[in-house]
Amino acid sequence: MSVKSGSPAVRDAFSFAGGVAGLVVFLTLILNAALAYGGAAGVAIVHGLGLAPASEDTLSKIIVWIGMLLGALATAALMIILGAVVGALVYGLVGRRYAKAAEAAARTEQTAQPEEEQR
Amino acid sequence: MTRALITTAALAWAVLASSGTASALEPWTDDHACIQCHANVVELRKASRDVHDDLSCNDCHAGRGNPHDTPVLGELQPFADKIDGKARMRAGVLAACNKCHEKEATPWVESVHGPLTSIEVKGEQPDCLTCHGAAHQMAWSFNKKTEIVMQCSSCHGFAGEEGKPATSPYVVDTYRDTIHGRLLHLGNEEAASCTDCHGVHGVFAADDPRSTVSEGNRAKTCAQCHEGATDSFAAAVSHEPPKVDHDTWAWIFTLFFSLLTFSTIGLLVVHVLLDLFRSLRPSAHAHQKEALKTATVKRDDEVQRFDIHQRIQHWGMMLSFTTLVVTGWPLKAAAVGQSTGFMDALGGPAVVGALHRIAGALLIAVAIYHLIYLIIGIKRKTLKLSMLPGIKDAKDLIGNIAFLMGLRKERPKFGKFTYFEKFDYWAVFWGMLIMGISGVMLWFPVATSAILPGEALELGRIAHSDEALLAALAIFLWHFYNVHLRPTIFPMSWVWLTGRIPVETLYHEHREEYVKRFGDVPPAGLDDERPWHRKAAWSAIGLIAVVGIAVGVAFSDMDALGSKIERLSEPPPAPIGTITPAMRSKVPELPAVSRPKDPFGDCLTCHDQETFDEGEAFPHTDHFDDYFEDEIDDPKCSMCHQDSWHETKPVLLKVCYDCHDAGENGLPEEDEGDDDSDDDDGGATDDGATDDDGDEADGAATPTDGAPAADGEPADGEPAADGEPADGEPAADGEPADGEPAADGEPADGEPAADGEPAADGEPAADAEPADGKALFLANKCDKCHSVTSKGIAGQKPEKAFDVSTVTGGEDLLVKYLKKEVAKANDEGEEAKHKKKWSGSDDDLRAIVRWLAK
Repeated sequence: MSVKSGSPAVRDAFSFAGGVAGLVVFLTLILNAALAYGGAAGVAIVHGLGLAPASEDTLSKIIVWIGMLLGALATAALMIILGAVVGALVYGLVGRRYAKAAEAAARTEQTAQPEEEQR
Repeated sequence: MTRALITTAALAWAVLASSGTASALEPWTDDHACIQCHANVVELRKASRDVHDDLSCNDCHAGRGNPHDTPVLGELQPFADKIDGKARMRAGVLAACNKCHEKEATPWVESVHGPLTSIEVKGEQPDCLTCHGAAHQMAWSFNKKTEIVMQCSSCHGFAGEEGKPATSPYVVDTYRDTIHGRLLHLGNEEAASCTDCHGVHGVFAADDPRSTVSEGNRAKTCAQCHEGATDSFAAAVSHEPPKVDHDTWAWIFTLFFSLLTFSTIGLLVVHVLLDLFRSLRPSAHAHQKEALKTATVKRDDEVQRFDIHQRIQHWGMMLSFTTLVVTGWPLKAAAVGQSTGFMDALGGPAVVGALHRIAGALLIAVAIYHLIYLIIGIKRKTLKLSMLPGIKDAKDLIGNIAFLMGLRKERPKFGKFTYFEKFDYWAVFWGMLIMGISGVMLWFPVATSAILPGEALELGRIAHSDEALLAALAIFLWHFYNVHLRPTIFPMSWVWLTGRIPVETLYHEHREEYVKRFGDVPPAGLDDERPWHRKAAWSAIGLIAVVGIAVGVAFSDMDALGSKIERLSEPPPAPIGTITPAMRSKVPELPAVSRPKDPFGDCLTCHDQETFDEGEAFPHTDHFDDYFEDEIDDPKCSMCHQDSWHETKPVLLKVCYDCHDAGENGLPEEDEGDDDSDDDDGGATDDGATDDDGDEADGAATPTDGAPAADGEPADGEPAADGEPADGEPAADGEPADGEPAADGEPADGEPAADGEPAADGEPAADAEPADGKALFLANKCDKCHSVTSKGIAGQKPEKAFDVSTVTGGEDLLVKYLKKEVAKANDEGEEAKHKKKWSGSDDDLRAIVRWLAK
């Protein structure tokens, strides 16, 4: 068993920012395509189940709608996570150094405070 | 001298005879004669960059003789006779093309399409132009294979409908659903189109031994692209969709995977929603009350969960899976409009195909790596088979569902791997098996067909395509939610990078494992306030809400969504039925000036059926016959339908008066009370009162001027048109005979002398011949095409009018020319006949000519 300590807050902040960026990209660039691809998946399911085309049948239409919704959610998830991964990479390259520096500064401050109190 | 002339003539004859042309001897064998009336067709050909621009009219329209007498065919009639029946147009087209393209035309006549020309099939009777475009605008050939498919689809996409080909109604749909159809749609020109398999001109029915897709020839046809293809390989292709009684296994596979996807994703989505809603309840984030005793570990400490091998496997799978989805999805959903652009952005179908195969190979390598890892771990006894599902997992599933639904206060105590993690693992295992095997089959289809029956390839395609959908949805919705988007984890668990998880997570999510490691006591500090967790949870919820709102907005326009669904629901890809026949769509837009005035032949390309097959219906049939029978005044389309093609104005009855007298063929008298001021075809315009725009015509009489001279009745101020037919029998025609010529012989003042003047001075016209000529010129509507600027006549359409102020030639020659008895050199030195034949008296004609020459 290996036990190590960590500070998740800073790195999570980076991946969170990346996730938001991914979401923005999704909403601005990919939403329409995601709906279309999800709808196409729904059509494939309708076709495979041998149901009537969505233009003629309510159940088929609902399946296609769900397909579109899931397509959008799935793609949003993918984009958010890709953003989060990029954020994690940025943390690995830059953020960790910043976090360590911040941690060291905090420690210095903590040690300095009792000394002042003693004075 | 005489001998020299004879010798020269003989030599000239010999040269002409040997060159095969006799333009000097046969007036109908060069383009000059045609240009007289059809100049704009020539312009059209030039503007369209007609591929046949090196041919003369008669190369297609006749062998010898007047093409109007022998429409289209000429000496090619014997060939056309082979094609029994239908129309001279279609047979003639083929005959004309056959003259140079016998190699293509002959097999076409014998093909499945050839006989259709002779059968009365309403609407669809293919000939060369059906595929190759309008006769005079054959500017383009099939540049892309997609255009071939579009062209074939223009008939076969509607198969089964009345008047359409009797082939299977699914031929186009099933083709588009094949790998060939999808790749071609996405721009891969190496993919097979219709003609690659069925031939180009010699297309035969599949049961015809001559067919390239007949049982005996199929393998050979496939082998053109797929080296080594066998009959088994060729059997994989079918133009029939799978049904219970046809391609049964394919039907079962399709149904199975659709049901599997539908049910699996449905259950997973329900599970995700339950988990999400449970996370929103306050009790989900309730702090642990301070425990009397805590473990030695703090909650932020991390414990190792995955070793480096497991993480490498995950990275490899993550990379390959994402690449496979991104590169494979445009092909699966080729019907979606974005796919083409997406494919292009990734480097085109060839690059994407290569990337897909590389990613597939990587995924297989990861799978092998994992198997080796398992074997070694088991052998060394360093690996416990904790991923194997058991009874406890079933109990955990039930318990967790109860917890998520609020029926239970605590989660079940999961072991090292929860039931949903085990589901993830085995789903991937199953997916890798299906995708890997089917992927290799599709990668090496010929080799596969050598081992397995050809139908297995189609089964492999269905499995690969449908399992991909299931896998993508499962990973993106289920796996991503569980390891990234859950409010307690968001934005992601770092275990895939570091291999470690926080002790707190172990405590909550894998209690059994935690207890084994640290005892049944909570980690130290578990009850401390954790603002970050709450923030992350609400951030996750906020982001999910944003996505929900965006999707909601997209769904808010239900009409647009409905039409989107309809488009998606059509057979893949959607545009069947809305495509423009490829050839016609490629004809470049022509500048207005280049449009032919009389595109009769081109009109017939489309309108022979619906317009001219009206039986005895007036007026088209009669005029159609005239076109071929009367070489002089051919009633071409534009004569009645104005100068444009499809912007034709409604045909007014007045058009008829251009050629016909009132009363002729039952043509009624024009209504006297009719306002002719805006009439451009007959009526007042013909008498010079107004021009096309309703404005006063240059040099023409107006009521304020008194009546036109031709009327001879200026005093009453009535316009000349009143009561007179506007058909070329103007009042003026008869007036000179009455000794009341219109003009006073003073045209030089710029005001048409004819206008009212003679009546004013009362002088007879007999001694004022030039003015008489002018009156006749106007009365016969010569100013419709001509101006005489030297005499102050601008013409009805000054910008288009041909000025005859400096007309040359003697009186006799001009008279003959205007009667179309001889040709005359025009300004450009080309021999041409006058466009319209003079239909009045010789005296009047001579009077005009003399007036012009003066």
